[in-house]
Amino acid sequence: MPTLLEMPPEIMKEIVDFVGCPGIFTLRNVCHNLRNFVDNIRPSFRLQKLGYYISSESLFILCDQNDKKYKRKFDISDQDKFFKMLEMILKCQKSTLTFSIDDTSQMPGFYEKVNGILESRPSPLKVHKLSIRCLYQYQIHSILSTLESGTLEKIKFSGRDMETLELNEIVGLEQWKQAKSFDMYSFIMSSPIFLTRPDTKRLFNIYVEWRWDGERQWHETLGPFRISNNYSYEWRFWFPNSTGTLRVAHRGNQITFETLN
Amino acid sequence: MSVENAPVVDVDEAAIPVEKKMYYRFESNDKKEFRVSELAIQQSETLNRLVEAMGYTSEDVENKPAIAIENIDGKTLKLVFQWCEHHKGEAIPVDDGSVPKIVEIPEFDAKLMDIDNGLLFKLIWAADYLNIVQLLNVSCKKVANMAQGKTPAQLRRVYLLPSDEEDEAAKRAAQEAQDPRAREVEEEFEERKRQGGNSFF
Repeated sequence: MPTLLEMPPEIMKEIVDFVGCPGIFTLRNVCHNLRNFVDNIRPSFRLQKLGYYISSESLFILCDQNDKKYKRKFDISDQDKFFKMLEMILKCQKSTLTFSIDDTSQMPGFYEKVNGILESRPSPLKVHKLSIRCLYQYQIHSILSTLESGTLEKIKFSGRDMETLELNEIVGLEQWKQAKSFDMYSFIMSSPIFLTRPDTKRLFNIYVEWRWDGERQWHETLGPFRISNNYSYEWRFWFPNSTGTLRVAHRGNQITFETLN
Repeated sequence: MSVENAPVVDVDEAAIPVEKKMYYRFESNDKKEFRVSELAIQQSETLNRLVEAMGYTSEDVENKPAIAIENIDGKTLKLVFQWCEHHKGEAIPVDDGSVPKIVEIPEFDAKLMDIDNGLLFKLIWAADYLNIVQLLNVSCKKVANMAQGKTPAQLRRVYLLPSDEEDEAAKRAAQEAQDPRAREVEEEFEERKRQGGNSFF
C-alpha cells in the first residue's frame, strides 16, 4: 500500500502546498523524512495576510489563508522557533498579501534578520498593503526597501505615543514613491513627505491629536473652506504650472491630502 | 483471466451510445476493460494525446484491442473513469500561481474519494500519471484536508508514517537482518565501554 512518502515529489509538493500554513509546521514534526522533504521543496504559500506582533512577553504570528485565520503564540524565550516559522513563511510566500507588523519592542538584530530573509528571496515579496507600527525609521526601511515596488499600493505607519519618527530616507524609496494611499497615526513627523508629484494620484490620511487651539489655527492657515458632502471641511489648491489639484479635507481627527488630476 | 472473457465495465451507464459517439476501450493492468466516452477522455491530457495520435475510426475502437494502461489496476482506473465521465466537458483549470489556489471538493468527488487511504494514494498517482489536472487537485486537497487540526502523532496514523524512533528501529532491524555480525559488534563495543575503556583507540 503506498504511503504519503512514496508519492512522486511533484504530488507531495502539491499536497504540502494545499496543507499550507500553519499545518505545514505540524507536517514537519511528523518524521524526519517529511521534515527534510518540506524543507527541500520550498512549498508555495498563498497567504492572504501575514502579520507578526511582538510584546514584552510573547511573540505572535498571524495569517489568513483561504479566508481562515490562524494564530501561533510563542513565549519570548522561544525566539528561535518564532524566527524559524517566520523565515519559512517569508521565503515561501508566493501570492500578493497584506503584511502587518506591530513591534514596539527592541529585540536586538531582529530587523537585520528579517531584512536578510527578504533580500534572499528569488523575487521580492509582493505586498499590496503594508501596515507597520514601530519605533524607528530603520525598521520600516529594512522591510519596505525589500518589497516589490509597484505592487505596494497602501502604506500605513503608526508610531508609539506621539514620539518622533523620521521618514527622510523612506520617502526616497521607490516603494514609497509608487504607493497610492497612505495612513499615518500616532507619531510626530518632521520630514516633508507629501505630494511631491502633482501628476500622480495619491491619497494621504493623517490622524491628528489636536492640542490647544490647533484646530482653529489649522483652519486659519488654510483660509476659507467649504463643507463637502460628507460634512468635512474642504480646501482646494492648484499646483503651479500643472493641471493637478490638491484637495485637503478635515473631519474630526482625520486630515486628508489628495492629489487629483 | 483472458482478454476475451473479461467483463467490460461501462463507466458511463447513463449515457449508452444512442447517437454516434466514440467510446474508447481501455484495459487496466489486471485485464479489466472500460468503455470511456471521447469527451470524458479529454479530461486526461495523457490519454487525449494518445487517442489523437492513434486516430482511430469508430470501427477501429470496436475491432482493435483495448488500449492497455500498464501501471494502473482496475479498481483505481474505474474511479478515474467515473470521475472523467462525471466531469466531461468541464474546462481544465490552469494554475498560474498568482492567486491563492482555491479548490472546492464537489459532493460527487467527495463520495468517489470516500475510500481507504491506500486506494486514495493510488488514485492520486493515477491522476498524476494520466495528467488529469482537476482530479489531481481534488484528491491532493482531500489528503491535505486530512492533516488539518491534527497533531504529529495523529498524522503518523493518518498517513501511515513511522515516527523517527520507529524508523530508526526499522532501519536497524533491516541492517541487522542483512548483517548478523552488526549486533555482535555493537554488543562487543557496549561491553568494552562498560569495562571502562576507550579500548578501540
